[in-house]
Amino acid sequence: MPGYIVEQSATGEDSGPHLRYALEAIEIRGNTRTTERVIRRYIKLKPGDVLDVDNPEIELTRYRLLGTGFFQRAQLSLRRGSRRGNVILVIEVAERNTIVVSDLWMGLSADADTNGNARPLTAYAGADVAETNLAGTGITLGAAMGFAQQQLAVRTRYFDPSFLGSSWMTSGTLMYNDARDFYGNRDVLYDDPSNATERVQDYAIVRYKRAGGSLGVGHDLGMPIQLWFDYRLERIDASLPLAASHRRGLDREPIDFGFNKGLSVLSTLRSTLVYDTRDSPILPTRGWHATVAGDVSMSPLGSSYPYQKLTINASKWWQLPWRHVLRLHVFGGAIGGYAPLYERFYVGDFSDLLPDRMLDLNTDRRPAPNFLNTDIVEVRYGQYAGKVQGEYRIPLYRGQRSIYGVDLFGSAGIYGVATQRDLSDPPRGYHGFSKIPVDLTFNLGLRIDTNAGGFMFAFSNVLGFIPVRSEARP
Amino acid sequence: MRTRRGAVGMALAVALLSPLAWSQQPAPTAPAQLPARKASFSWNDQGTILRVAVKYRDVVDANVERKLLSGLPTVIVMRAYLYPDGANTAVAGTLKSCRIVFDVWEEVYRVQISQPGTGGEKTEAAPNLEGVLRRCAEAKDLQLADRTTLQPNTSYFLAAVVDVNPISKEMMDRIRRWVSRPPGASSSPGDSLFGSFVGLFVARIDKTDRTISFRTQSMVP
Repeated sequence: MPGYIVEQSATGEDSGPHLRYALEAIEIRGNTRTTERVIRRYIKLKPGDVLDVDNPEIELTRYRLLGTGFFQRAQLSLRRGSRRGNVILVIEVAERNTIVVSDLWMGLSADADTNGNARPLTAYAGADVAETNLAGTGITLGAAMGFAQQQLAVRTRYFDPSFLGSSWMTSGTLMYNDARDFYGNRDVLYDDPSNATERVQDYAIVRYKRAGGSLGVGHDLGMPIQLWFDYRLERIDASLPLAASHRRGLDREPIDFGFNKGLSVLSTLRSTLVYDTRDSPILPTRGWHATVAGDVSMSPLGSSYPYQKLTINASKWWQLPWRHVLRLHVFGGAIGGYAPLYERFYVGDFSDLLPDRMLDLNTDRRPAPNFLNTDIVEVRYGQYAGKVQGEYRIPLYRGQRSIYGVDLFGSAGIYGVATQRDLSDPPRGYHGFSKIPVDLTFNLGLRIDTNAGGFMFAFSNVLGFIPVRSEARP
Repeated sequence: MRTRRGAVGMALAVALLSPLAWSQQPAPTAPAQLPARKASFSWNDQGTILRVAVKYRDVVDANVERKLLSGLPTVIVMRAYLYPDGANTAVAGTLKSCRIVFDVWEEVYRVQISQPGTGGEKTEAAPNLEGVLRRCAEAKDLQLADRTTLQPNTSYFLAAVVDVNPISKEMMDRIRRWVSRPPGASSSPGDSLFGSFVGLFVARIDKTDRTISFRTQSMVP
């Protein structure tokens, strides 16, 4: 009989209650929607094992089950088996609502109308909702939609944490964007195919539609490291002006729209390495979160846009002796070749004073705030980008019920976005340091950790409309 | 002089507590505000060590009682800190820990008790819950402070924290890594949404299954 041992010391006395049994079976109770097969994926113990009651795997099993998000409660216990020394591991779960709101977007932006005339304020909004345990299979099925003025984005996605019961994860997305973007620094000459007349406008507008999807496969390489490979295929239909030019520095230059005219195809292969040792995803106090992603888009893959893209994103958190939290964030990215516009680095994604893109929709026409009086004001999209940012967080509230924590945060950083030309041939009229397209960014707000996920209320978007910036031009 | 006495007291505390427990578990920040209960204090036979006897049976509620019967280990740890009246800094501290496993075949609770002054760990079998409570939810003759640590004619009180199944830092790290990896989560370089919802969903991790705190009446040793 392999089991039922009360460990003895050399003197023959009990050295402690280190009980070992033979694990006869694993019994799962309380699951009404989640299939037993899905639950058993998270249990590494199996019938026939010698079960030491001190095996940390028992406690880890409980937290693995809670970590799926499928269960409100998971309790483990032992009961007698059919023979002396045998036990049955009983796992009792209570299921929870698994429909989650993964993202919400709301904000104000300054865009331009169809004719390229600047408009003061428009609103944008969007939501991403997911069922994380579809029909009890453990598969996530999600949908997202974003609206802005004359723009629409739709996404559906799935994620299977254990493809065909294996240790491989798979994911897939389907997407559609009816989007537009704003071009030109100033004095835009715009030859719209619909009007067939050349006009001076605030901005040149390009409408484009994207439809496609991606398939991905991922694997855990040890506890904190994950590796993903994704293949993406998209059809792009862009309506470009016949021609457009703008003032760059002191010179008039044609505008690069970043799209092939009419129909084109984007086909990329991406690999992503994720390293995550944070102690909490919403309000981390220590640890690392880093990702390295590489994209390759080549004609042999059927792509109309031959380019390569590499991004490195890393954050480190420290808890200070007085319980406040410091975060250092670093981002670096480079693109070689001809990438479609939405794959390039956008200033709004780096400046907290402009809205980020929402599901790849760009809702704002404004240039970077330009606190440092550099030629960043001439740059909207770039092939190179870098950012260093520090954040200081002050815990305001800690709770145990629906709101777990509220922190006040302030952040400041410096970033740069540039095309190859901005570096090799800066716009004329800028001198010395001003030829380096960098700017400052800052943010202030609240980060809130709740039982439904994490919220961030930041004031930067509102502050971005206060005209404190200096849009220096030569 | 007071500083030196404090240092001696802390040295004793470190000696009495396991270093791991002392370094990871904070003392109560407002000990005088904790709910009060009676304890009895006494000196050892030589009159050199202050001891305490106190009950905390209420830490075992229905949920903990169920856990005790689960056949898996349950740990009850009582940390006690000695404060001069009006102070928020402990001059001494002690610890009693108890690990209980219900033997599903023998139907007895196997109990492992560890407390200073008892010559290491002691293993006993308790036939029923009452036996567990007597051994693990009460402290008797628990060594608290060396006489040299204490000021004459000064009033002191004890503040205690009792945890059920406190999770070690290492285990907590492992668990958090498990639950903090959201499926398909991505990170973007920008962070500037007005009211954005970070796409992460996690289960909360409590550091213990149950915790109670209390203070005792003041006394002049």
